Amino acid sequence: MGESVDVVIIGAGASGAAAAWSLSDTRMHIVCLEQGDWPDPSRYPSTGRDWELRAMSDFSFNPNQRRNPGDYPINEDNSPIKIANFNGVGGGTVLYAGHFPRFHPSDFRVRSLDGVGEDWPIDYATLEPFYDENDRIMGVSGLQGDPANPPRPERMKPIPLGRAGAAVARGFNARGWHWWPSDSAVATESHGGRAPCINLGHCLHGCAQGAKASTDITYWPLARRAGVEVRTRCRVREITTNDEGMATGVVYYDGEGVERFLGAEVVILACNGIGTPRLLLNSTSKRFPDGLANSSGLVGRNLMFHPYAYISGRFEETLDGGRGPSNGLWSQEFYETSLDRGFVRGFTFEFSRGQGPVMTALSGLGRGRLPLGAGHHDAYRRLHQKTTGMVAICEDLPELHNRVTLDPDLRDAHGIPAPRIDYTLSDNSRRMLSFAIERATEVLTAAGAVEVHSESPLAIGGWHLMGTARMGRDPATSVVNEWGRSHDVKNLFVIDGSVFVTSAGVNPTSTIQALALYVADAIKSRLANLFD
Amino acid sequence: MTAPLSTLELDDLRALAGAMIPASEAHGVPGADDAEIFAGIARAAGPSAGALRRLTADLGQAPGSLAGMDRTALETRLAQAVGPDIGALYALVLMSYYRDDRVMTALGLEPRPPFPLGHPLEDADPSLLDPVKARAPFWRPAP
Ligand SMILES: Cc1cc2nc3c(=O)[nH]c(=O)nc-3n(C[C@H](O)[C@H](O)[C@H](O)COP(=O)(O)OP(=O)(O)OC[C@H]3O[C@@H](n4cnc5c(N)ncnc54)[C@H](O)[C@@H]3O)c2cc1C
Ligand code: SF4
Repeated sequence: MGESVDVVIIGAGASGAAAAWSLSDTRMHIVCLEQGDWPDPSRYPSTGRDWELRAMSDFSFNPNQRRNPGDYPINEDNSPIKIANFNGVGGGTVLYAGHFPRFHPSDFRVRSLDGVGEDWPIDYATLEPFYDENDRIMGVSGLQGDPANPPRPERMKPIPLGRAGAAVARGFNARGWHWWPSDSAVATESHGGRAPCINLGHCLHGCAQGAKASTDITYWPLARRAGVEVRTRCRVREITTNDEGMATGVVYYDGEGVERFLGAEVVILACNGIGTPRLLLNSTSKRFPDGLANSSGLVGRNLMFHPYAYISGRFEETLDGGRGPSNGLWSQEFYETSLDRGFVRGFTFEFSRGQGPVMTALSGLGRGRLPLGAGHHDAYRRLHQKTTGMVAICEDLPELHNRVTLDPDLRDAHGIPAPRIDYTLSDNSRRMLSFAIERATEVLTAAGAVEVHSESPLAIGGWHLMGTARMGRDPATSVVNEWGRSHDVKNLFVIDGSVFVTSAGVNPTSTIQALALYVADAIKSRLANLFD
Repeated sequence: MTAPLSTLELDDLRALAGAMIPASEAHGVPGADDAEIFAGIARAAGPSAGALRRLTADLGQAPGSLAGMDRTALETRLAQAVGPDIGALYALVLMSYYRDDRVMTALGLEPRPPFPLGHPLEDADPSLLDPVKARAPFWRPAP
């Protein structure tokens, strides 16, 4: 017999951290295995002069470009949208922008309201206390009273709009459309020992200030103090099972590459919408030949991304450039279905502030706005600190053919089969993206932009990974039940973005974490008969 | 491992960098072929050496020939180049150029990393939000 614990959590990202903290008050022996390392904020790009260069190399958000030891390759050739993630303690929250919207109540009833996708087995009211608890631990700034959303608890003061945010807000006002200072997982005041944001403008490549709520500095210190152990550089290869069909533990490679077994009473998967189906599909046995928890055949299917459009305008006035968090305001004018728009469901506009000097040059060149040679300097000065805009985050509907499978050839550094992504953009998404670009162009023009540029779908924007092990009451049409437990394996839980039934038109992390807290709570309240 | 660029290849690269971003007295900035800036470009060239070698060979006749060309001819050659190799050159030159102290200062930026000093960001006029505050809640109730 090897080592054995009560609970093993695989993945130390957004959801793994939240669940670890919540479960820590049970005093069970909990170990979290994470394939990456602890991030070191003193080495984040914004601490050096080569910050924009490193944002495209060792701190790129595409793992195929970054190729750190904690990363695994992903075959994304057959997807117009490429994967963005971070593999290390904190997971994607180390690199995320910190937009922290919640789902709307209607997002849990998509089939009933609009006849598409599926309804969730839970509703907004069920998750609301967990959203509130998560906001408290992560630390959220924003403003109460948004007419587009149900009421929120008190939060830290909103991120300043700056000149760029004010320009975009004026554009929305001119059109008579909704906008609001966004909920953001960025501390604008001291919070839980973390210093407030000082507008480094580098949130997407790690916040050296510690103002942005990544779970390595929010949940993990609390969970570890309460006794949870995090083992880094430990990549899980497979979940093992016994003849009764229960999970018995995991096989993983430690930091030295040594294969180890860790037995566990409960296995919790928190590897995100790509890593989780990959691990389940890699966990085959005589009893589970198609992968673990896959009697429905849905493991890996219904992958949803949120197709993004990026729309930017060039202004005559000087704006913020690369200073300040990219978030600041959102608009949900077009969030709910209105069939006269030519598509179902909707999207959120999120402000995207501006760019640093190198990115201004690279994107100006890429868009044909920045000549080389004699005219270069004049043209550069027309762009420098003069562009701002927004992204449109479009709700992606679940479709069986959008999926994660195992690549027949590609393997990671430990020889474990790597994931392959097959994804096509639906006609509904295309129509939504076009509509969003037209509306954003109107906003930016009304705000004073003299030129507008758009990119759609945003190829780099595969940062929201959802739907590949969805929850539901019916084992034939879902992978886990309404409290996150696998229908097939009664001591296996999934708590990351894979369990999403539909994607909504907002960033997912506050919902992922609320779900993780809710599942952890369900586990705690059923400890006596958890496996019945 | 790709071999590092030879002296002649570096001369070609420097000529291309100067043609891409020439010095400007009017804007008070050096060109990308300035000794200090080019030293940075040469230091960072390692990972793109293969692409740059192909590119300089493609655009010139023999190693070192681009260095002897006049600016206008170089600009014409650059304008005609397409494909990933030219992309590698652009990224390398722009990334090194736009972090030079003199260039940043001329743009009104402080030549320092963002951390630890950060930057100020203005608060906007709060009355901007008044029209939105006047709206009744419009989120859709769910069954
Ligand atoms: C650039 C960028 C910007 C983003 N911006 C936003 C935003 O503004 N707002 C928002 O809501 N979301 C944003 N996101 C998305 C957000 O980061 C994710 O939604 C969130 O982190 C997902 O949480 P998770 O728990 O599902 O998985 P993750 O946080 O991805 O954590 C999964 C963890 O599991 C580990 N793991 C995977 N497989 C194994 C294995 N076999 N063995 C051991 N460990 C393993 C990984 O290394 C990783 O650390 C952004 C993401 C990126 C990359
Ligand atoms: S802008 Fe604020 S949150 Fe973003 S990296 Fe800088 S200090 Fe951190």
